[in-house]
Amino acid sequence: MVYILGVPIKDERPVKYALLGFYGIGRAVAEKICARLSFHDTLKVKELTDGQLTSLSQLLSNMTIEGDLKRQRDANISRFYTIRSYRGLRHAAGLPVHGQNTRTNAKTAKKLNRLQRRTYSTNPIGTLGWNRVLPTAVSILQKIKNIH
Amino acid sequence: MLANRILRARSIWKGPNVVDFGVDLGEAIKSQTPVKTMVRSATILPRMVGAQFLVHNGKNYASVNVTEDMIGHKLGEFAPTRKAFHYRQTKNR
Repeated sequence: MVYILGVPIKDERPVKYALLGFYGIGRAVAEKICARLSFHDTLKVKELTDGQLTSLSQLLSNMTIEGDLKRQRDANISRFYTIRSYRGLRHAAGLPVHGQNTRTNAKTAKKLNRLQRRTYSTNPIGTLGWNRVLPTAVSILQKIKNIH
Repeated sequence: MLANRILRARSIWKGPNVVDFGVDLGEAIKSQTPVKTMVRSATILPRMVGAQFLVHNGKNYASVNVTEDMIGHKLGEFAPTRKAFHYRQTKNR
């Protein structure tokens, strides 16, 4: 369990896939990062040396991911709304923005579209996925490691 | 609004959709006289900032006060074409 950047905590997974746990990093970007830093495909996060960790953190901090990205997205949405553009009004009304049918369907839009856009699940395990550790589990894991 | 989204996806090499409104925009901005237009597809340009437009929405004209943030959008984005849906139960029960 390692802290990279903000507070995301990575498990003993290959670095290429552990990077997917960041909001804003998908498979393509993760591959590029590993290529740039010369991490081989099966390199695990726990096998990273300190130098590698710092270079990785440096690279990640220069990208817009996590909170920066979310703020950017929310700023864009609120900009549409303050202008009174059609797109902003649709976000405010919680309706589809891209011209979809509203007579039927539109469930996702009605659930997620807001001026402060929501994310998909409210279940904490669901939002964290495979690559992050639950904050509550961190202290337990630390205790276990101390015992070892 | 699907049509407007396609319009906005305009190739860069073509440049923006510049529309002549038949009115001197400088004069219109100074005197604050609204410019009536049916051209919803007109791109908002820097020289239009500060002007008042009356944009057609099929039936009436919606008032649009152009600000600096609106540059790059189309006039029609600020003139909704449909009345918002309200469910009103009819009294004929």
